Amino acid sequence: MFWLLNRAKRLSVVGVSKSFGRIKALDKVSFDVERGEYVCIIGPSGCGKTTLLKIIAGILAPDEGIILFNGKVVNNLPPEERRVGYIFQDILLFPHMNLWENIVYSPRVRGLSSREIRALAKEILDSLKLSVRLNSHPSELSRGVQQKTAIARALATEADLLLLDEPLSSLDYRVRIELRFELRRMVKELNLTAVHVTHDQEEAMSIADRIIVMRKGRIEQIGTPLELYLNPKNPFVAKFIGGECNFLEGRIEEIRGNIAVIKTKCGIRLSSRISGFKLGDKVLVAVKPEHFNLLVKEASDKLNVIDGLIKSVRYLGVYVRAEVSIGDISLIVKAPKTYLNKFVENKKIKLKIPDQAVNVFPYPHEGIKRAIAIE
Amino acid sequence: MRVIAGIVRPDKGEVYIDDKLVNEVPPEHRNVAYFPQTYALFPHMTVLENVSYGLIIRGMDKEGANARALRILELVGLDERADSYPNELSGGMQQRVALARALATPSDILLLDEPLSALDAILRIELRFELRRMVKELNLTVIHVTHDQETALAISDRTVILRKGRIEQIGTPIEVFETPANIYVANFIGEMNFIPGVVVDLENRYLVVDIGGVLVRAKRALGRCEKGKVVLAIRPENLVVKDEEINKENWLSGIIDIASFSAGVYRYEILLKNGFRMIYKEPFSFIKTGFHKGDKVSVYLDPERIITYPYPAKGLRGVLVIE
Repeated sequence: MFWLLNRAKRLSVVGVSKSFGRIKALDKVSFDVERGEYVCIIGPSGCGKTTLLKIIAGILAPDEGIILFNGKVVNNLPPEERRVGYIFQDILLFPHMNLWENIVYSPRVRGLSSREIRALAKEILDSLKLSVRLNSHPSELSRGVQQKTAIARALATEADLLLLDEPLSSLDYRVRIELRFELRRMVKELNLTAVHVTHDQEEAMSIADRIIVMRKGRIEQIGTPLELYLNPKNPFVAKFIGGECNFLEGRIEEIRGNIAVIKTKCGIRLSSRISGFKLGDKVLVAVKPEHFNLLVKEASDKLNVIDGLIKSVRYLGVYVRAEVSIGDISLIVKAPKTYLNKFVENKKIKLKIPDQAVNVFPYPHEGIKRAIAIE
Repeated sequence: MRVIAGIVRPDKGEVYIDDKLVNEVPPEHRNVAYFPQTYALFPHMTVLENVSYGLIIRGMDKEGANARALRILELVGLDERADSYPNELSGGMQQRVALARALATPSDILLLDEPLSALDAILRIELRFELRRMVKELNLTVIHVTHDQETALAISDRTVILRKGRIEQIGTPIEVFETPANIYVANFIGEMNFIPGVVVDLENRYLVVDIGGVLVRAKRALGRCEKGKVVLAIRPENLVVKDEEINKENWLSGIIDIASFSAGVYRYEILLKNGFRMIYKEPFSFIKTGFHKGDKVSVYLDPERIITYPYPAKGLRGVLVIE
């Protein structure tokens, strides 16, 4: 390792706000990213994630708040002195230069000797596993290779913080999945710190050490992929992480220690671990489709048990997805595809929801629709 | 799509709608509604007017047209925005209005080109099933073009897989996923493990295949791939993986190299002792914790779930390139 050893920097964002006219794009956003950590920021279009990235890069100035690199305030540092690599969805390469010329452009401009340039470029190329000829021009390369080259070029600027704004969104599905894991491997191998913005929660969950969920300029939750998936803080995170989600309205009917029994509007009784609720509270329960268990025999206890009717079945590959009706509501249920023969349209089905799968939230004062709206 | 709609003439071949040859029928008389990917709403019309427009110019009275348009707006979740103008809506909402307009337009065949592509991932997943429900409810015939194979599996009765102007396979989602016609389809639809090998023996029901120095059995399809170089294919979720050393037939030992979790599925990349890399997928479960990087594991290749293809003349890598 010649250039890239132990370069990762620590990033802190403290109380950052930014408005565009009447629109508050960021509202007192604070978080830390550790050295060598891969963090994804996700949220619907317009949640402020790109604005945040631009502020970290120094392209935009915050109205309020500070940005720190390794504990030093960098608000007044111009972008070119921040040693930050910025990768966009639209792949930006010099079309008239070949791959090698693109990658060594920055070190050349900075006046590195040709020996230094070769050592730096070799190290980056080795970690990127670019298996194409270096004298190819961008137009001769696939989009996946083009984006890798753009990353190599960003790294050659000696950036120690990589900012990625939807870097995989313009790529084909399969290439996107492959590059996900390669991006992570590369960042870890080169010991970089990465902040990656995406609207695709699957991508974020696959790559990130931690995920920041944003909505309307605010941070809703920060955690590891599994933390967000199993313990969402609010209905929005429950909906946004992990794909589809079922929501049920109900009331706290009984409390025994830290276990409560919730009676839902559709007549199901669910038990769950809770804190901070009292008897009679109106609540919203979130259950992920893949968290139901299929019951083959009659359950002795009616608690957490659902009797429903299968309305429709779709085969999705790893999972089979069914819409199950209970009275006038409809639940989405997913089971491993080995259960395909158990899912028959217009047949009755008995399901059990394990305690851990029942996520209980205070009933949102703005109503369910607003609380989980993506737009 | 453009040939079916009548916008482009085929050099050769025929198009039939309800068994009637329509090659000479101009687009406006085919009763086919074509919605290209770049949707354009009328900016000076409200959402409701945009959706009912197609009905009114086809001679429906305004009241009936508005009623039908409202019902379809309700289906796409935009009935409350009926009086808004397009520029007051987000991009995703605008695409839903365009979809509503397509669904409202009475036609024998509805041609949709990437109707969900401009939506955020979460909305797209939701709207897939909505779109299918609406199409079935409204009893429409739909041809939906997408590059997103997940959408195709989730939404369609049958999927046609095209490559370089040719059809590679036509089948139900289960058919194209579980029994892909060739390596290209196997690779294009979902993730797949491919293992090159050489057939060394034939048994009644099984092929005996040498994969990098290890012999495994694979289900034999009569008359197919019975000698020479082959490619074994097995879906990541069809593997069985245990965190113990198992020295039995079709079990291979390896080490977890990459562990990740998303959308209710654990995904692992396992580095096998014989140098192959395998992808393994496991549905989430509260009972079992996931594997970690570095865990030693054994991988079972169920002979019944292995599909065998002839080794491609161009080499395996050449066939697997998508772009």
